[in-house]
Amino acid sequence: MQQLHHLLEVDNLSTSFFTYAGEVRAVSGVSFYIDEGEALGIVGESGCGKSVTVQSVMRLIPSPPGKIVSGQIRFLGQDLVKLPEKQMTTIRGKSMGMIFQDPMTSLNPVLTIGRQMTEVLQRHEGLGKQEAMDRAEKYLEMVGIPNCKRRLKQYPHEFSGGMRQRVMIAMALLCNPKLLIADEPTTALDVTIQAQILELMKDLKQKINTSIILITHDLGVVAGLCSRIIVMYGGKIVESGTVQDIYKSPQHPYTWGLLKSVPRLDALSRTKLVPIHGTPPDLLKPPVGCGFTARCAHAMKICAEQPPGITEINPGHQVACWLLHPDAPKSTFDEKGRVG
Amino acid sequence: MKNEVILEVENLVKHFPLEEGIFSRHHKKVHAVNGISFQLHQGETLGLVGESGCGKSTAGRTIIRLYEPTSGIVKYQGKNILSYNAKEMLAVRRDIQMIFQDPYASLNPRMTVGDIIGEALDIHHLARGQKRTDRIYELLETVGLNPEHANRFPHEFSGGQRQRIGIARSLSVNPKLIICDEPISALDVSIQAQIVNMLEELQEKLGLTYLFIAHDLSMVKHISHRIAVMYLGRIVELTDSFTLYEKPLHPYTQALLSAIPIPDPDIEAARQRQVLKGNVPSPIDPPSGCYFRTRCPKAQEVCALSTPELIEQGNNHWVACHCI
Amino acid sequence: MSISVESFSPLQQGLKAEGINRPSTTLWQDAWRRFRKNPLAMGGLTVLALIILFALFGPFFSQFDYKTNNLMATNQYPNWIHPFGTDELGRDILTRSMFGARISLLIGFGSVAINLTIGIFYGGISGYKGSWLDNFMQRIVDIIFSIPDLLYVILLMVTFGPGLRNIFIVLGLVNWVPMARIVRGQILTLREQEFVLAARTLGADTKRILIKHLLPNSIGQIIIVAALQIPAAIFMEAFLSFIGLGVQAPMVSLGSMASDGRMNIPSYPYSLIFPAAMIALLMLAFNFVGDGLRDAFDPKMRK
Repeated sequence: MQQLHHLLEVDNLSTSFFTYAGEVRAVSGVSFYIDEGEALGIVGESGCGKSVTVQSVMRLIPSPPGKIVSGQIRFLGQDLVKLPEKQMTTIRGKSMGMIFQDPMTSLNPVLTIGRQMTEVLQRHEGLGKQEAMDRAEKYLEMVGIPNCKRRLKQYPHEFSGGMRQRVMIAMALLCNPKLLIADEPTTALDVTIQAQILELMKDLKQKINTSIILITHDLGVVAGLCSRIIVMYGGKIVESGTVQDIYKSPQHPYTWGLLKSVPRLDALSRTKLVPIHGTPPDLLKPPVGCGFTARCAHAMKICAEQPPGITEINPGHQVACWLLHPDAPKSTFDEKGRVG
Repeated sequence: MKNEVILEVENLVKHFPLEEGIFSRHHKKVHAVNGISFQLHQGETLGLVGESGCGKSTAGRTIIRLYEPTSGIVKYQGKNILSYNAKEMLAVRRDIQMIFQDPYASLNPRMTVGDIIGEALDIHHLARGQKRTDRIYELLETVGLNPEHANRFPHEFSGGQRQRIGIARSLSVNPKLIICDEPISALDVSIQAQIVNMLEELQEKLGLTYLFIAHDLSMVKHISHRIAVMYLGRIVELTDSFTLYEKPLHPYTQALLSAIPIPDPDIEAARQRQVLKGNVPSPIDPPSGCYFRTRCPKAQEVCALSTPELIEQGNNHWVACHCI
Repeated sequence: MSISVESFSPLQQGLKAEGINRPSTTLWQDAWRRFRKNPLAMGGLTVLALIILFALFGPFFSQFDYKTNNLMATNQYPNWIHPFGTDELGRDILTRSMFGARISLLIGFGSVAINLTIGIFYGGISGYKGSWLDNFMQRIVDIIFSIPDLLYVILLMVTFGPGLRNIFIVLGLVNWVPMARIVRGQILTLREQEFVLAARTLGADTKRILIKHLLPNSIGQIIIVAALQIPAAIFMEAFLSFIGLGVQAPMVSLGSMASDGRMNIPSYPYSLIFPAAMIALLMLAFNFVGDGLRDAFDPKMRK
């Protein structure tokens, strides 16, 4: 399965924010890759570093106080960490597209949608005005916006939340990017609208073969769309693998916790949820050992002392947990506790 | 196992007037809640679900008279509290409490946690001095927080901790009924379960009744005994939570259930999702007849002409739809 | 690397792992931390402190007072005995500047105290009560606002007659309007916040909600406006004294000194320069402090 060149390869990325109180290690030592045409999900709670990771990839970390401390981000044969800002701007517009949680903040309220879309095309693709308009119209149609001709002349506030997110997706895809990064694209939307957007993304993935990184805190959202999943906690990757690995044989107690703490609509009877106790670690003073120790029901002495290494269960399924050490007692994910 | 009715809402309507200009005399209104009726039984949890803008929060706030209703009746223990004056209402406020959505906005940033929790004790003259302090500590412990934190300010706590402070505040008056206005939607998944479990434990221990307002149907199904589904200010379906999931009758409920992603790749792959077209119409100018007809896959002519009544379809399963 | 088997025994940990690591910071500490980092604001604060000390305690170290004429020593250029020189009646300008600064500061702080009281009360009621009352109260504000300040002040001063007390009253009557607007705006945004709704469900009455919830949360904005109104009031007083409507002789303010000095610019420029420089310094210091406070309290900067 091993490919020689991944589309994007992040190697040992660490990003910190230097605040008055000290260094907040938002992301520390994160490595992952994504291949062409693949959809990767990054799952974790707020503050786990998932957004900072992709913002580092896009080089959109506000600096100061943020800074990429170490690591490499290889994309299309270039190390993005070392790239000058000017070239980065081209990459951001052309080869990578990004969708944010709140589309209103990334759309300019005083320009029409058409103007904003054609501007991107004129700048990055060198298209003429009419050509750009046509392309914009085509993309709006593709993301399922009716009356696109008229819609192009409208301002962002004239669109509903779901429609705005569609516009954002259309804009992100305008220059046929290799990689589409979606940062919680459906969190601010209602479920019926979320379903619309997810269907659309699934549809687009098949149609245009763009790689997608989908960031979310909702394990349900990624289950249908992504083929591989990364679970992040406290600025580190705790488990990564295919959807089957993560949902069917999760190995990290945090992944167990995530799966058990959400009620399932298809649960047969009313069972108690199993919450993860406590709160995530303060990354201003990250714990010495495993970041999850304080909240982990299976914590051992070693967990508080040393950070766990990475164990590969089967090709592609990697877990950072001491429980997988041969000397550790065996604990497994109890499916019954969830479905009952 | 029907307990006595503790709260009864009849035909509650709340319209918000829009910007009354001096010169324009056309009265546009937001039709937030359009005649909802339901009963709450002692010790049960009734879930109120719907998408944003369906009026579920307004309904909750109108019941507790944070908003004055346009019309309707809210009976608490058999008496219409909408006709109460300020003094009578003050007594009711000891029995009906509320938990809010945003753990960041619902605590006064200039007050210490102790004062936030103790505020109701001062208002209702329930405890003073050492007794007040003891009560605050006790409440903090009830919600799993350290009593030493009473002197800290809200911004020093995490979202889940703040939400628990909000719960402690509402418990301070020993209420019988708590209106939970999306208490978990602003929280992380692992924290949501903490709060939901706590609410369940408190219900068992204190015999509380909940009106649980949320948009997350899977969580509502988990915590509620019965569920009312709202769409544009009207209840479209009301039944117990398992029937709602097993045998949803209203097309909107069916679509809502189908839209919820399930954390299981196999089920997700096999699922035939029913995706609703379009958006919720504006509550300023709702469609005629059945409000859902503009998005409904089964809409017929009759749906535009008359408003369907909420009718019982056997065994306490109430549905408002012409197509059944 | 070998790890002992012992390391894999269960970790004994309490379930309540919910400590708070970060030190407790209140709004004031937070604001002060930001304020301290602002060199202009700190400079302004230092200058202000010096001027206040100068005005409060300076006269105790001076052998002269502000009103006794000394015809033996008129119109002296700055020298060792009279560092700022003397005026045409032989009064020490340094001492007079101290007294003048006292009056100016008194008017600055005093009139702002008055308009704070009126403004908070008026804006608070108007913002919280809302509906027709708010509409009515705001129309009154609009009417006052539509009259140019200067015209209004001069008219009132002419009606009331000059004098320190009347300056207080007039400045208070004028400046509460912007304060009331700011307070109302704050209250309007705050009153729909969930913590206010929570207080209402707990049964809190209007008075309690205003005093415990709404005003404490508006305090940052109020301080900012007040800090910028103080120099405006000082300037207005200086202006009034300059045109002869301010404090009356022998009482002295920086404005009346400048007014007196104006006649003698060609021959004795220092009699204008010193009081004018004092006014300018006060203005600058207050404005820097005001700007610093705005940055320090700006909610957008809060994390």
